[in-house]
Amino acid sequence: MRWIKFILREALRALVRSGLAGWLAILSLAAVAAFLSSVQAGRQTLDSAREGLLARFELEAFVRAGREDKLQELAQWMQDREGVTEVLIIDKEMAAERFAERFGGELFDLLEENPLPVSLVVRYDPKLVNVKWITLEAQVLADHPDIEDVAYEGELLGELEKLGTRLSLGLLLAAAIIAGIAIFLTFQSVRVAIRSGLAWAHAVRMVGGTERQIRQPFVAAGVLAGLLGGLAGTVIIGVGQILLAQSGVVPMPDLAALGVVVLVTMLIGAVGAAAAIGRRSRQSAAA
Amino acid sequence: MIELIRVSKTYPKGGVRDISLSIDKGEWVNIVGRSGAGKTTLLRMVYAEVQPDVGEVIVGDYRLSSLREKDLPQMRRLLGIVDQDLALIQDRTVFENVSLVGEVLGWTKRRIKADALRVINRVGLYRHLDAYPSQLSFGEQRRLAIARALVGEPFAIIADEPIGSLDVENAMGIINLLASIHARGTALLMSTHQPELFKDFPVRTVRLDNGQIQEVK
Repeated sequence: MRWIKFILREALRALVRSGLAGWLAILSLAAVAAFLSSVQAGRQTLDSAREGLLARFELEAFVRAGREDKLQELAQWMQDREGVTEVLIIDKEMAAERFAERFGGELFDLLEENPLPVSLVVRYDPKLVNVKWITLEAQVLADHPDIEDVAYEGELLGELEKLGTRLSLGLLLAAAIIAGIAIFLTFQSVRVAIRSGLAWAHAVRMVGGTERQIRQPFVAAGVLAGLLGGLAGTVIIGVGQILLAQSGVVPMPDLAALGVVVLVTMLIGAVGAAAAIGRRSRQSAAA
Repeated sequence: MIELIRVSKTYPKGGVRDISLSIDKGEWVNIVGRSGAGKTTLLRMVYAEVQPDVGEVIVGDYRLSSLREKDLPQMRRLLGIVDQDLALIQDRTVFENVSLVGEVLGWTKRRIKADALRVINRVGLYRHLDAYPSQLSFGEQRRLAIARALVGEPFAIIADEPIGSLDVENAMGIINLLASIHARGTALLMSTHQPELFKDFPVRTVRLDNGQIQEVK
């Protein structure tokens, strides 16, 4: 416990000693946290919109003519399949109503007989729906001897997935760039802290302190900068998200994900500090 | 207790050559000589700040030529070091500078406070507990460095020019302080330009010239 107190106290002093460089590191880490939290909020919003869209996703299986007597059996078979949340039986009358809703009823007035086939509309758990999975599912249904054909909005699903992938890649790239800048700034701030802490380090050595006792406070200073920056960034975005969530624009913030963001900024701070200490050690060894 | 066996260290300008010296328990040894004679190099070899090119340094049970990196702090804890530049931490008060030793050694808060106050009182800086090094006189800064060296209760104090640049009155104050430390059984190994100020004290004087021992009194 005394050891942890020593490290924290010295880390805080090292951070204060680094002055403007320390503030810059905290600010850059706050920017990383704010960016990652915004990405997280955006992802949550997108997921929620996607789920809403996919909750309405349905696959329609048209029953072969003359196999209408197997309708209940088929419906049960589909209902038992993994991920299926609902199976609706669309008889000829209902099919006509759906047709009329989409294309108008005038066409039916010209016909003597309803030509539309009986079908089964299957809805799925939105968490399971993706292009690959639904393609396989449609294939399985289409292979059933009592089913004539299967229809679904595969194109829409594909576009949605492509958009998600592109967005994720873009955001990942931006996050990597911002994290790189934050690591560099933390590296610089800890270098400044080390330079201004040389007298302290020398004094610790002279009184019998270990190299670990000298290095750990500097790493802790990086972690501390990450914690402060991380908290500042996530709190700002988190509060903003809560305010927007009250008007229903976005979902409430995911606290666990924001916690992960703070951990990430602490890790970035530690990496930057460790790099600065490693460089200093190499310079000392060379000297 | 502290032994240097035929140690040499060569620098482009200066260094020491073939020095053998032994400091017994409770002994007071002054290293004297001109600037560049090798006094600082010799002292720094004792606390392993400088590695000799050849020879052996023994401190307590530690042979420094085969000292493992992890044992270096343990060895230094046997010594109280007063560096030439004093190595005071400028943004810490007198009390905090002295407390650092206890913090590094993992003492309890109560022990850190008690021992730091005791030693600060002993070196005559009690009135300056909350002062920063820059607010102290040169002599007081030396006292602070001695206090920090003393608080870990080392068996020997290694001091590089502890009275350098001080007027006679302040220098005598520091010498009397060192004498009181020595009187309690702590060995002293120090360098000085002013050996004449120690004539009334039980000091063995070693004269260095061009990195070699010329005279032992």
